[in-house]
Amino acid sequence: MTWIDILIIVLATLAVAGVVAMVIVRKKQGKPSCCSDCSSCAGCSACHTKKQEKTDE
Amino acid sequence: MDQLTFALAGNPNSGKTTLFNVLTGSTAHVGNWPGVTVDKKEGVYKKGDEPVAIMDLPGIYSLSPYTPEEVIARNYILKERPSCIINIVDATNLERNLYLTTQLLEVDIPMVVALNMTDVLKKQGDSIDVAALEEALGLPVVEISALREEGTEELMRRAIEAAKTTRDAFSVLKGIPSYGAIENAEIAFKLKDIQYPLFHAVKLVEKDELEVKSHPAEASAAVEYLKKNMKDASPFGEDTEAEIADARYKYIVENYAVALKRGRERKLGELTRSDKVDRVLTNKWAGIPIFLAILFAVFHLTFSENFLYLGSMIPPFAEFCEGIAAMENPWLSIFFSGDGLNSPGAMLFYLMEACTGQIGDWLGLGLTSMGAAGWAVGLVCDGVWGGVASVLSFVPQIMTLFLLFSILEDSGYMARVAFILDRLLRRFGVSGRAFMPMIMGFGCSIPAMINTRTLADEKERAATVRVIPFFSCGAKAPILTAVAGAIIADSANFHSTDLIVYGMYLLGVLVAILSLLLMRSTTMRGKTPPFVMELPTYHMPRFKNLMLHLWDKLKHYIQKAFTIILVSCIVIWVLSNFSWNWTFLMEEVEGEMINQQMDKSILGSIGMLIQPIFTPLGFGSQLGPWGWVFAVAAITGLIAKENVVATFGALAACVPVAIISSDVEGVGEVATMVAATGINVPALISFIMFNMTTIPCFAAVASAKGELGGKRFAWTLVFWMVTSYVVGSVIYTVGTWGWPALIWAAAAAAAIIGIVIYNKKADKKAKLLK
Repeated sequence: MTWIDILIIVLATLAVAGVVAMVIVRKKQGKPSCCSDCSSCAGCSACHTKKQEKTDE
Repeated sequence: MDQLTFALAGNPNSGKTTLFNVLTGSTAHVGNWPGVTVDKKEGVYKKGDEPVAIMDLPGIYSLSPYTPEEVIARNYILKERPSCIINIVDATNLERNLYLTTQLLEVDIPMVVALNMTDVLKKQGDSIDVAALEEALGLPVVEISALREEGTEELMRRAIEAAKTTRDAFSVLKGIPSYGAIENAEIAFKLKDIQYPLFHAVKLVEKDELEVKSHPAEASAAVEYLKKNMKDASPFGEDTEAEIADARYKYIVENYAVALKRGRERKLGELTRSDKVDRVLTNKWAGIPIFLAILFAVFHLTFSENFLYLGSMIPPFAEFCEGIAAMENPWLSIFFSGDGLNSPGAMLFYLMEACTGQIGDWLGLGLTSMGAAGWAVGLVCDGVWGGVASVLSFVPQIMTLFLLFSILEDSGYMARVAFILDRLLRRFGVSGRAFMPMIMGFGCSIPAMINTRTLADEKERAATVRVIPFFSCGAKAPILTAVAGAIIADSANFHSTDLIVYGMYLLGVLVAILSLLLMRSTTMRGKTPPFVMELPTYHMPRFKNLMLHLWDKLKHYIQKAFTIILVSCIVIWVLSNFSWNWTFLMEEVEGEMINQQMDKSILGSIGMLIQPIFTPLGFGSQLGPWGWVFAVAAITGLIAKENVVATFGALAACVPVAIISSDVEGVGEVATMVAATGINVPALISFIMFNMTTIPCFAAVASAKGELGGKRFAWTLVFWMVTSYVVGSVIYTVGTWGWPALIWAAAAAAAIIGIVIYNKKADKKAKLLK
């Protein structure tokens, strides 16, 4: 196995782990897990009620 | 000192979100129809000496809420007490917009009136005497044009000044017969130390449901007063709601509307340019055919490979195009297909495909030269890039489609479509208002489901949420295009991608209409609510708005391609190249790494296990080798619909070249699978319709859960699964053999008879109970 093969395995593993971690972190932050930042959605606060409640507290 | 907070309040489609975007630098979705904003949205104005929080509220005609989003606006004003209310008034509809202003005056919060769309008013030859209006209202009034970003800084300066002062509540109702009841209730509220006593007193005397529930003692006192004093005092008798509304309009006409200076007197019944256009576009008979023609033009511009049918009309041109296609030059193929000139959308698609193909080639060459093993090249080039590129190839076409839809929305035409479809939809139990969220579903199901909050009837709202995924969203467009391309590759005579995609979209709409009919005549019976919608004035779409819409979609799409889709491709590649005992299935054949045993892979065995489920739909056990790929693609699509095409992209490279004649990116990958599995055209159409009508992506499912909740959501999942299964089965069986149409027709007839009998029994029961 050459260094480039190892690099490809590492990068593929990191990509999978990174995206899964991102989805979990975004969900914890109250952001949607669909990878959209919702910045332009007219109903965006509907997806962020939990976060807002926490802020309000 | 606390940060100042300004609330933007006004009638629907008066330009609140446009102003919000200008003040805060946001890119919130704006549309030329009432009801785009259904939730409050916060931003910060940073251009002044101090930052100011700006709250964009859903549009309201009055402070008496009927729909959920109107409750949000009222509650924010009353409960959060902003430092200042910026009341946005559409200058072209002054009298109607000032109705809300007279209600806001009854709340003692500092207020500034922003006269929006004054540029449009001036174009009509009219003007408003701002000083006179300011004096009559007793409030600062600022002329602005949110669209042209004019007057906004002056507006903020006046609003900041107003926020640092106090304002007493004032009512324009003084002197009306029921005002005694209002005064009594106001005194009672003041004694109880209730905030905004005047506002609550007026609402109580109006017999506002919320108010009567909250203050029953004051309500009965008011009723007593009205019984004693109102019998002969007012032509409205005890109908105080009508009396108060009439008094407000009278006051507006006498005191405020005088500020409006007409450039010239209009004759009675004189039509504006917008009215003249509407006479044609919303015509009783021509309205729907014109809409269908416009929709076809959109699909023709996006998907056609015989633009304007030039190839069919000019035979020498067709021969020329055929000659170019025979050269098989990917760069020339961008402009010409074998049938004629490509449409703008198709040109962009082939350009993107050529680019992604070139990048794939470079990746392969680069990795090989660096000494990467065959499997590693396969993982990166076929697995990851093959899948991601097959999704990215469709970006330009999806953007073209969105651009054309955005132009129709921004111009004001889509609001007309809701109006002309009201007559048709009403027969199926929903009003034309429900069409606006449905049409939003062509972009993305999530905001569309949230927008159903503008529907007052709960059952109509639930039924609409359920059918929204049937309006094919941007993520489903690649499935339609890729499979349509495969159908064409499989057919000798039919070469119209645009017609197939258009037909599939219409089929989705037809399924939605039939589902609505079914739901509204069984589990979700109820009266169709009346439809009142203000038709916005036509205007030229703003370039900046269009680009913001497109940028938002593009950003979302690319983000998805390089996160969820990329990871899915890696997982699919691993699962399709390893067996359960982790044996690597790729073998070196003539110097190339090829996986000829994919059926033994983890993915293959899972695919073969679930494959029989799809047999009635035409893409199950009846297919040849690799047939399970269709079953797997349908399942991976539940994560994100783009995954369907990405799955074909990641797995197509494993199909031996001997079976197929071409091995190209995008459309060719589905064609590869069609050639390898022997799937027929009805099964391909069934596959498209299954993906269009089944459970949508995870994000849309979460949104539906939020909107419907609990038991209704669980039934919604069942509804999606059953609908997709039945629709797919009907298409496949009827398309393949024809005669099952009789069986399906008999089943439909039995269902209709069953529904009629059930409804009659239910009506009888209801009558007896009454």
